[in-house]
Amino acid sequence: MDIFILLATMLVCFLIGMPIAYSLALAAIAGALSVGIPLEAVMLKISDGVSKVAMLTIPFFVLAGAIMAEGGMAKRLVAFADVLVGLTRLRGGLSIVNVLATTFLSGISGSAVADTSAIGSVMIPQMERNGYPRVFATNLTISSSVQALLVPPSHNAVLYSLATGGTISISALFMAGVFPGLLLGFSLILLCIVIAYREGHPHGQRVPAKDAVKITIDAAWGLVTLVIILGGILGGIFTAIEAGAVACVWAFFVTMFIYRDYRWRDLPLLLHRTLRTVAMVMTLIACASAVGYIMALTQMPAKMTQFFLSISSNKYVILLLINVLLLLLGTLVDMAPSILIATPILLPVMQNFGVDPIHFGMIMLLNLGIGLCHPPVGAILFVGCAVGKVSIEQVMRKIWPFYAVMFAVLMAVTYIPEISLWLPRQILR
Amino acid sequence: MAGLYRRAMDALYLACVIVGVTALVLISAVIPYAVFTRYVLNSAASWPEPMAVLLTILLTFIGAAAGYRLNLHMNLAYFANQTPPSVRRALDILVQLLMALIAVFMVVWGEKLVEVTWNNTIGDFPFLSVGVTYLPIPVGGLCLLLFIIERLFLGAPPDPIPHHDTESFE
Amino acid sequence: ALAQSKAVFKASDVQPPGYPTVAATESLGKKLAAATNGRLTIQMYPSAQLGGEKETIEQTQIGAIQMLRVSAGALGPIVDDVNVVNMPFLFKNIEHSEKMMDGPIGQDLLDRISANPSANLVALCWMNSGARSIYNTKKPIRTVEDVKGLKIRVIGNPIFIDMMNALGGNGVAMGYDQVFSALQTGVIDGAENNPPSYVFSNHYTAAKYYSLTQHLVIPEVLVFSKRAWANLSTDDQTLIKKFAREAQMEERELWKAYEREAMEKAKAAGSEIIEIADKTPFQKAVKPVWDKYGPKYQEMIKRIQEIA
Ligand code: NA
Ligand code: NA
Repeated sequence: MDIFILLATMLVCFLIGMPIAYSLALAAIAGALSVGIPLEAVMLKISDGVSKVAMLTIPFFVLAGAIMAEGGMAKRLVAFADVLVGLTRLRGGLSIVNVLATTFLSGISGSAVADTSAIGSVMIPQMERNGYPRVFATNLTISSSVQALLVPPSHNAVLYSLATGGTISISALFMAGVFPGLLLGFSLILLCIVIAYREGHPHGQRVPAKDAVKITIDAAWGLVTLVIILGGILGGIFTAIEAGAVACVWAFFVTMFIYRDYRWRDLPLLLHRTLRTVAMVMTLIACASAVGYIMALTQMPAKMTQFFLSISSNKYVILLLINVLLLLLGTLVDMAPSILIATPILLPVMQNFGVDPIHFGMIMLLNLGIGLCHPPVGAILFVGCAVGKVSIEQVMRKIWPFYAVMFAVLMAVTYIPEISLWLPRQILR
Repeated sequence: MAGLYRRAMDALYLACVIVGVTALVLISAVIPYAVFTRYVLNSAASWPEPMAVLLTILLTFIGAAAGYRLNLHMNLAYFANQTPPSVRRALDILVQLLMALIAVFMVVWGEKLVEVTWNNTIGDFPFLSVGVTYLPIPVGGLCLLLFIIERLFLGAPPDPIPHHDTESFE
Repeated sequence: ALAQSKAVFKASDVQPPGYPTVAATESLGKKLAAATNGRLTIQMYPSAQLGGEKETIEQTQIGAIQMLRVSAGALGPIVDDVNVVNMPFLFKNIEHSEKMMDGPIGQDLLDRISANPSANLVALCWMNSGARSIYNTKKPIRTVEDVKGLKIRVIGNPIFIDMMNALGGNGVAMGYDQVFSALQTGVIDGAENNPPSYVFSNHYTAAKYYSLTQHLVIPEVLVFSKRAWANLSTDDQTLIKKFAREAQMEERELWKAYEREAMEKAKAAGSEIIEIADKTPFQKAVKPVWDKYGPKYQEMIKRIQEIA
């Protein structure tokens, strides 16, 4: 009964268009009143939700991502990918450049939306000039950006770690995301080649050696960020939190002193924007932790496990069912709140069925990432359409092959746990 | 009167942003400093992490109030947008009133929490009261309340930043 | 009517089900239910379901949680007198600390917590949590010289950083949830904790050298929310206090079995358990810490040292 009051309050607030974060807060308050918990405890939990050291990764990676995406690092990574792909002279070369540049950028940014706008604003006009349909270029940019959610660093992996109550280390999740991310990139490249031959996309062009050297050196400054983050964590030099902080400092240094194409007077604006993004997400985390608290008090996770067990005792059936549930959730709710709401409820269920929490994290990130690519709530889709200057309807008509690839990768990640778990097992013996 | 209140809120927004940005910059400076002390000075400083966490709390509650003023928080506008304009207006007022309720909760029970924990100190900072770390809740709640009143009677002001994509987190 | 009021006490512990403190508190609950014909019962929330130590203490102060098992170290920031247990090598050994808990000094410390007007807590009893020792990934620590240069994670409190630095190591404050991956990746060389935490948090798989430095004995305390306590009849209060004292003794036996089990598991997995032949150099090394933090607790330290 208590939990019903909480859920009903939450649902009504969502439907009337109240901000999700504050809907959660009000639901927690209603729940506390019905359970008979002093309301100070709700306030305590709201503050507590953000006073975790692991939370610090969020401002760092958001800030580092913003500096890099706006400061011309993306442009240079595209040029570098162009050099590499040009060597193959494959049909559909620029499509492959798009995917590969996104893979690079995903290794230093945690935001799919930032990848979409940074890569899209460079790649979509360039692809169109070279004879690729604008809608295709937009669709490709949208779907390849999902890599950013998987390849470390990933803000949403941090959120998942927080949603598990910090029981799963961020470093392990970062490592787990490497192969699912690369698999998605690789699958999209295959799709690009198939489409390129069917629709006669142009061949890639070799970049003259002299330019290639300059471009590579230029891009190397940016790629060092990738080394700092991945290498720093894998090599035991930094914790994930410190890696974020150092990446921030490095990105700032490269952008302001090496590339020098970002103006100092734009910096306050960048900080202002970052503050708003970070505060929004933090508020969400804060309020979700209050809801999680009331759920724990009413022993909701245990009841949920019982419910799922009553449906089926087969792990594979339950995994499929949960995938469908998450796809539905991702249709309507943004990724961050989805993770924060669904994890405390579903993770105990999954653990009961013997699914590794790290593996489940990857399923969730990829699944909800696909949700970002379709309406009515789809941040990547909206930004992609804005950057590509095409309508959502145009994009939706042609997005099906990309959905098919993403869904195939989701199934592979769901049913082959080794894709996610192999790397963390190798490194974290 | 309306003009005066709007100008006061502009000033409050600016103050919130300055506090939040300062916290953000400090957070990004103290953690690299901790790495520096561990590797270069070979003696790890213990204060940067807890200090960064305290600044994060401040950033969150103050920044959230400022974000609310410009209607930046994620919501599920889809269903409300399907209703006729008159219903939508009524729903918007209902949302504002519920938001005001939350803001009042934050001020009243946040303050009670500050009181109860006022004499607890923090392990890492024995000179600092736990109550101080909860102060951003009632203070943030008060700012939120003032911005809600502004939105109810004067509407949301234009965003000082052009083309800000609030979903740039995902 | 007050005496007959029915109540379910929410009890919180950061440790998982089966852990000695959890089991002892549950057993207390069963006795309480039996003695009151089910009028007073305990609902246990283990595994930090309701939050970590600091936040659950605050929830107990507010009255959201009624019963809480927490480390004495975590109560120090609220009742300063309790900080005396943070002094390294305060207790000669576990038996010494048990004598303190069972005797008048232990009762005195519990009373100081209960009497503190702003703490809003009633301290019911002590529980054992063994002694903390240093473990690391690099080498066996046999003498204080071996600690030199090692990056060792300690609890985030200036006294423990100073302690590790005084021993010649490099004290690193870090959240407990990050310790395992930091050990695996090499961000830190080691940490310090009691044997069950060393083993059951899996740290032993990364750090195979466990040296029995036993530099800290920080007992646990079972506390009750003062707001809820005030609503109980004197008879109920007496009953709870009696069962709490029994829980103190019951937990001690459970603890010893648990610690043995942990040690055997570590040994079977190839961990090297190193006895420290002479702890005197370690004790001498932390003298600066005693000079800096000790004077405030001089009276209590003297009384504890005088326990035969
Ligand atoms: Na990424
Ligand atoms: Na969606």
